[in-house]
Amino acid sequence: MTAQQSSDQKKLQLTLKQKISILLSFSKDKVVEQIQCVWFIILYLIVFQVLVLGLPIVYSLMIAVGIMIVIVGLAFFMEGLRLGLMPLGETLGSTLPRKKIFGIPCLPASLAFGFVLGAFATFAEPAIGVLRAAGSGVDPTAAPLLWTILNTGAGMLVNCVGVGVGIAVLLGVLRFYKGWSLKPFIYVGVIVLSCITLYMQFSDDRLRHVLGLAWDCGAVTTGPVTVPLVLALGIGVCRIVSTGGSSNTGFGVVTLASLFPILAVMCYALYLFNGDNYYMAKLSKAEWHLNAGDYGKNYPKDYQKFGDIVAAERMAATGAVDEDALFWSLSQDERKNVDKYLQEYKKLPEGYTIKTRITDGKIVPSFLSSDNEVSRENVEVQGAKAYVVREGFKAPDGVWDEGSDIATAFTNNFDFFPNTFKPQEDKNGNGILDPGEDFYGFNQDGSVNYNEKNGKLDGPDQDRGALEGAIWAIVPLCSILLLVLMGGLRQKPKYLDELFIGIGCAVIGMCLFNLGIALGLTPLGEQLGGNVVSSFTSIQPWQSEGFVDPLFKSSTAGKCLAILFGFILGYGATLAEPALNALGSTVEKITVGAFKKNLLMQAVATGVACGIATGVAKIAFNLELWYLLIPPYAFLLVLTFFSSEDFVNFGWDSAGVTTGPITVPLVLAMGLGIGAKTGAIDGFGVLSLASVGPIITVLTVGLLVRKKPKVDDATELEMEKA
Amino acid sequence: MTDLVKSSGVSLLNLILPKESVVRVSNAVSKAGAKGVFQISARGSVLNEGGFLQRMFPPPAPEQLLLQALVPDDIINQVTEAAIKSGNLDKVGSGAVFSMSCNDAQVSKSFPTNISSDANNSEDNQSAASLEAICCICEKGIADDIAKAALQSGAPGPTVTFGEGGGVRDKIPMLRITKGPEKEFVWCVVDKSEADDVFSNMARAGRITEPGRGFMYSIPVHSGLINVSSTVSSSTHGANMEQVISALDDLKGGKDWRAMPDLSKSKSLKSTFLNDLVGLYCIVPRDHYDEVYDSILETGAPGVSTNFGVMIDAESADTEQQQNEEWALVYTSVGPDSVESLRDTVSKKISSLGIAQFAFYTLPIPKALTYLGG
Repeated sequence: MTAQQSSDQKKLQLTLKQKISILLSFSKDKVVEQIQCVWFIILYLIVFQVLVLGLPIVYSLMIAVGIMIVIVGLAFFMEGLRLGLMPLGETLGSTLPRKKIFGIPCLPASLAFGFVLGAFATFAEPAIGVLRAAGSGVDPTAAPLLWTILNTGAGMLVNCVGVGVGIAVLLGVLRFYKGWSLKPFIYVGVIVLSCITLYMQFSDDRLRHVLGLAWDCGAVTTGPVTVPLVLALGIGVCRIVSTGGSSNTGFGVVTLASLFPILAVMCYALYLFNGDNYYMAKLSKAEWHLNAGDYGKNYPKDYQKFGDIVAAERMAATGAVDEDALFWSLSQDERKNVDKYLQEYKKLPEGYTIKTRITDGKIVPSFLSSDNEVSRENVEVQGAKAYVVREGFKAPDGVWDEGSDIATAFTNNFDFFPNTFKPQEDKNGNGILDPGEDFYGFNQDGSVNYNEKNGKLDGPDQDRGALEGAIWAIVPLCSILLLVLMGGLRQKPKYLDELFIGIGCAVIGMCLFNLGIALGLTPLGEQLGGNVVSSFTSIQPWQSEGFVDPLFKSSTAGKCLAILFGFILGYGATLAEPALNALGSTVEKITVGAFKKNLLMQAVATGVACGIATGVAKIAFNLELWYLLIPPYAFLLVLTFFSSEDFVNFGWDSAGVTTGPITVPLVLAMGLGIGAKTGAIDGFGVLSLASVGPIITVLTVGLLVRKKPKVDDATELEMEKA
Repeated sequence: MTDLVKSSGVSLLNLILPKESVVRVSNAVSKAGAKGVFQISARGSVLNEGGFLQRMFPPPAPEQLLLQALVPDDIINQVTEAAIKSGNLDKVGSGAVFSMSCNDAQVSKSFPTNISSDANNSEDNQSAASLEAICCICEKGIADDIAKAALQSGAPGPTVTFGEGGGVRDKIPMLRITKGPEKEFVWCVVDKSEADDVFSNMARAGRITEPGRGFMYSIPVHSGLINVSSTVSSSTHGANMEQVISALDDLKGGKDWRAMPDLSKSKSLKSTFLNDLVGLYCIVPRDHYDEVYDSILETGAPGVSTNFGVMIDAESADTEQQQNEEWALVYTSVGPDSVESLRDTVSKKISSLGIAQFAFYTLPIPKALTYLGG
């Protein structure tokens, strides 16, 4: 008798216990998967701070909770991508070339759709907040054009970047339809950008400072929601349009979306520069200012006033309290206690020590025996002073930062467009947005005038709560896609309920992810970024009182330690990035498993590590960006020429996905911390260098593993004739 | 009910080709008379020699394409010859061609094919099937272990394709999100003498007899030339595996040496096989595959799987650029008595949806293995 498989037609009825056990084991798998990505970087950061730098982790409980929330958020988000966003993108991509939308023929409709998608994605995930944070220390008297772009011109900056990304996606979609190779785009793009970079570098100092911002803009634009959507769209389109034999693999849009914003920012900077429409730094003592002449004529008066206020504040800050004075000072109570103890016991109490400060370089001998000049001498230093100082430093006791407010971090009362500073709102002219200043002002007669919130996005913001950020990033994009798919193309996706579950998971995931980053990764990154500077100079550790000495006597050795730190940081943080995970899975899927996800991720992580190490070196030793950036790009052009098309596609795309929400806070804090001590103007440049590295590594790996098929020329001819 | 062209003298021609020779071979094959060539992306196998660097940077597997076409028996030989010549398939590492004899095939009038409906075309060209094709449908991620087991048992590089499948999964409402439909299909074609061994090793590696691990079956192949490449990624070897094996073939004067029993390995699997099943395959346009899928499940088949691919000589007439038409190959295996009723139900469903182009064919499955409940 033959065995039979059970064929039960009815739907399986599962008991509640069975359902829960299925859900639990599934969730456990997903969470464990994310822990595998994230454990390395967290462990590394903690070990580095505690063991190498010898400083305790401040607010450890908050950070631990934040990290757990990040892991859960990542699990939800990746699941949401898999269930909802990527199938949606792929279905749309595979339907778009085949059906007409509202009667418009396929190609123009797809191009228009691509443009709208690209532009909207930039507004949905404004990573410009990141750049504003990087440029928060920019001095308007030292780099007026840069300061203008980052502060008062920020709204226009986002628009430019949005248009740039829109054009990039449009070109990417066109490329799929026409079957063009990616290489010509890369050659043209990189050469144009390099030429403009060299022009800006050598023509004027004011333009030179914008280069870091421009190149970093390209690196941060495509975020963890845009990339998977764009990838899925590309794959869908290429399923339909690619004809047999050619390796049109659906990638390449992310590359273009990383190159075009750089061009857009450079054009914007040149436009402002030529139009004299930026802050006139009257108080500047920089060298370029002597040759600058009259500029800033077309800059709005309000903005100029705002700039003057900020410049005045910066000048006041530089002449401020000498840190050394802080170093040596005790409070009055402390002095009284030390005094009492000293009188009683003739030695200093626990935790206090004597430090000597030498201000003059002469020694004064006093002979022990006054009549014999060759006897031994006591030697005193002329300008030496001895201070009683507190030993070590005092870190905050609490494990949770009382200043942090989880509720506001989570949701800002559904305020999707919280106001960032607009100078016209600074009613009392003190340069800060006082509470309530955006809500009301005073009329001529002194009565209160309540502004209505117009809800327009006037500038990039980083103050949205986690929930609003998640909703704003995902829901509008998905609505547009669904609208086009179901309304315009009249194609119903296969499992609509899975799609909505997926989108819901993605929103929840992103919300938890943002919250966890605000609670956990940002404080951790700031701590480490600030504290790593202690490897080469003495600093006040983060949120602590007191000072620590540098780890190494030689500042170069200390900076090398910082570079090593950056290297491993880049490696670990990249492995945790969700967008890179999505890229790896997509590559694996599209090559039917021929290229494993692991290959791409390891190669990219190594590349980013090298890039970040170079970036740290740039800030630590105050090197110029252009000669760290242009030679690698030139080398890349050569590599691209020799590489096969599919590796060129993956490799250049991997640059666009790397610097994401996990890497950026860590790297930025480190950049700012080191930059403040070495006198760098801003913290830019690290992110763009971190984008060049992975392309080089992936293309190199591609060249190494590629084996040509063993066919010699004679048989090749035979086969052609057959 | 729409008119169907029925024939029982049809074979399914399979070609496994590396990417470089696809265009050439498919042109040659179409010229020789095969139409409706269905193309599925696949990958070959790579034997990883371990080592830290290999695990960090796993080398990519060779990319291949699996082509299938329904070809009437009278021209199958010339089509095979054309394929061999144009793709140089007698050279080691160049690909494979093999054909399986279908029980019968039914195609709709507008399906691109040249099968003619003659009742007595089934002259017995049953040259004893000397090869066997083993196919294993498994969860995504397990295929590499199964392919490795097959390679180590001596099968020429298994080809792996992606697809979707379900059975139990679709019966669970809502919670089916916990298990994705993605499946991997591992194909290899081996000599009949070693088929049992390879089958058992693959089943053991994939733990197919455990619930939810997959489904394995074998189909007799009546002629074929198997020269797929399998990459051995270790620089310490001077020659790769197929060169070694073909050198041994030459030395030993044939392939009989491969059948010599290896007493050190344990033998066949002690489990119950499902015998004498029939595989029902249905080719429909991709847009409609979910309706076919659902209707098969509704009639009570225990499992369904799908492969997606394109047809390269079917061009849509109203666009100026050539676009790929996407098709789906839906497959299920049932007992021989249920085939007719299943096929009728599905074709009724198809015609009720107004789909003009579709095809059915059936292949004999003498042996299958899966979790059997209890």
